[in-house]
Amino acid sequence: MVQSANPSLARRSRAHAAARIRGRLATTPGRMRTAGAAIVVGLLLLAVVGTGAVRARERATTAVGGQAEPLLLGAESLYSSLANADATATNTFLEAGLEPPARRQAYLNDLATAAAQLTKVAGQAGTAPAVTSALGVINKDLPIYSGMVESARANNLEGFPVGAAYLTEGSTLMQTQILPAAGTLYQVEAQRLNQAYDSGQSWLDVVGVLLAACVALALLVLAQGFVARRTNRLLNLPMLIASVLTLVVVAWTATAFTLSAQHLSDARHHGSDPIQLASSAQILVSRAQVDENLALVARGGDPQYLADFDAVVSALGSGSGSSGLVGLAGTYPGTDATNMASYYAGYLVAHKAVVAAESGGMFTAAVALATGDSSGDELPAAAQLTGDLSNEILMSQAAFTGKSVAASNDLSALSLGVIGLLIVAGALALVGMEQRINEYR
Amino acid sequence: MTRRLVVALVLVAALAAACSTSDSVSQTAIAALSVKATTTTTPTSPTTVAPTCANPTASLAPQGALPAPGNMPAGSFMATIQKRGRLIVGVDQTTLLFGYLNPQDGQIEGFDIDMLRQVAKAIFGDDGQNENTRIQFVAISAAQRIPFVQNSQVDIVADTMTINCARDTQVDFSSVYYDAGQRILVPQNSSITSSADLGGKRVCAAAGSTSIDNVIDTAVTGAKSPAIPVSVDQWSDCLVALQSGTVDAISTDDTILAGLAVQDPLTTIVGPKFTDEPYGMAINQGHPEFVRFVNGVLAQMRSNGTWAAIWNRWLANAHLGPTPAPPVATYRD
Repeated sequence: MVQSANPSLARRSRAHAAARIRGRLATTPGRMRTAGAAIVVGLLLLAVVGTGAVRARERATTAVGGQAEPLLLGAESLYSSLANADATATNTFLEAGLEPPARRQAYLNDLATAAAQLTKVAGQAGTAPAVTSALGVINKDLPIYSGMVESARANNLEGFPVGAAYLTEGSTLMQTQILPAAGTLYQVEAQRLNQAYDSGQSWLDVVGVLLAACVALALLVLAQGFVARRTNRLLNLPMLIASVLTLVVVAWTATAFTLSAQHLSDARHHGSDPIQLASSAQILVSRAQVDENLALVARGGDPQYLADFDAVVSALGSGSGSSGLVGLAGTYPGTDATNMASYYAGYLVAHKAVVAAESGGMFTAAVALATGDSSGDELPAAAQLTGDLSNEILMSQAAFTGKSVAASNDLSALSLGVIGLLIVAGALALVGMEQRINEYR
Repeated sequence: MTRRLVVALVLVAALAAACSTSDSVSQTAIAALSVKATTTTTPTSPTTVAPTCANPTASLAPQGALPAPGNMPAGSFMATIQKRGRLIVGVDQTTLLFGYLNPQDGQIEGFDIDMLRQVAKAIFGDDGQNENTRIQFVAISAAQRIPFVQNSQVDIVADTMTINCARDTQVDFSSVYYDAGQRILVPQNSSITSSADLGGKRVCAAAGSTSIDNVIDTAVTGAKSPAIPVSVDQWSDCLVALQSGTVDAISTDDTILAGLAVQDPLTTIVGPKFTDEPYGMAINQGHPEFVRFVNGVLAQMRSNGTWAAIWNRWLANAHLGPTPAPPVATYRD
């Protein structure tokens, strides 16, 4: 080593050392070492990009199956139980005297479901402003709503018409504040799920892995070509195996990604999609029932309810049940499409009978039709439709769970496998290179 | 260089994933939930400056004896109703004692309803008391009374409706069938004791009623400043507002207040009547013969004791005093 207090001497010796390194690198073993290092860097890059992509996939798959879907189901259950509670409450109000115990129980059950789902959603839905404000509205207004329904009931028992005022105000609160807030939650959760699906099926991260793999493989191939030219030895077994291992990593990743994406796509199209269609249909059927009840309560004095009924029905589909939400919900294998269509058609026919009876001055008959207390039963047709939709939701949930678990399994061990194989490949590449370098000594 | 490219590509991929269009089925399902009816606004009568007129309560005099029930004169509006088989009436279903839906038996009943049943009985010979075969009830709010009559959606309205000059230009009124006056309903512990105390207080009344105009008119209330009017659809909505503490008082006709006070024993009616509210039944201006017919029915009810019987049936226990004499009819021809 050069030891000097003279700066110019030291500078000269550093320049000398740099020249010596350049000279050494310019030799064939030096170039081989450089190539070996480049291969290791390429494989490292592939490992980083590959495991990053695998992690992202795993996260997306877990988000779909473990978080987004249960949250969406919770939000859906919250929404539909609230809508159904209001349909039951307004229906009860049409009839004179005490409501049947079963209907009272149905109302209380719906409120209990809503409360349970509200707690669940509130605990997991995060702190996005839209979510917190929607939760705030529901938390604030739901107790007011149930209080109003109880006031309505107490006054009804006394024979006081102010009960009707409490009920309509309660229902207005439900329809204009609580349900829109529940709808916001449902929408946010559906978007969250859709985003999780999209990132779990993105083909761009596959491209990222392929690009990194191309770089690594190109380095391996170039290095082997260089070594072959310099040493006149065609084959370098360790480097060849390293190349094959790299190819295996690429093939495994691509296969697992494709399978997992396919399973996610199945979960979406045979699980989430029918769940959302059937849920929306259920919610709209509840809204149509509220509309009809309140139209009867107003006895023709308020045309807005029948107008809303017509709008809701146009979204649910035509009377044949071949279009709209009911039609779409019936396109999934295993659904009771024929019965659903006929229940829906029956509901529309019964609604026409209710309107005809009411506008023809036969109010009592109209109420009997609307509450299902007569032959021609409207509530049963609606209830049967709702029942079929519930079955579709349950069936689709099972399909969803199966497919989303499969999507997760497709990725299991992939992360470890990628790292392990690439470490071995890197080691082999260095070993292969070292063999040739040693031949120069 | 390659790494930078890869990083850029990964970023692009993440962005694309975040922004890529979501599933169309899911969007269909969610979009369906925000379906809305094309809003149909109920036409309300324009609020006009109260015109003055000599005597709005003067109605059309009955002509001769009433036709026999079930035998309405050909070409008259009554014959049209008879042929239809039912009288279509606009009523309130929220005002206890006058027109309300009894939640225990599901029937609409009250003083106004019994008045209408007498009209139906005069046309058909059957008042449809037990079955609603002769009367079709359309439940309307105070603000809907005039448009529903003008658009012929109902044949007649009996709904605690005050006859005044402004309304007289829009619909025809029967002779006066009840004399009411505006008073005030407050919680028992309220400091309000008369209309002069209403200044600055939140006072509830139904939209489209004369009461809501009166409470902001200091010349009518005698208060130093106008009350803050809170308008709602139905009178019972006022009671909901009073019970929830969002208003300080309800001010309207003593008749309506009596029905509200029955439903809440913690409220009380205070102060003297500070307006006169003569009630009439509203009929479309195209049917003067029907107005004369209804006036004939009312004249009969006044003289044969039916009016008093109906008053006793509904109002004897409403703290409105002893059975009054029926209002005297005045006619303009």
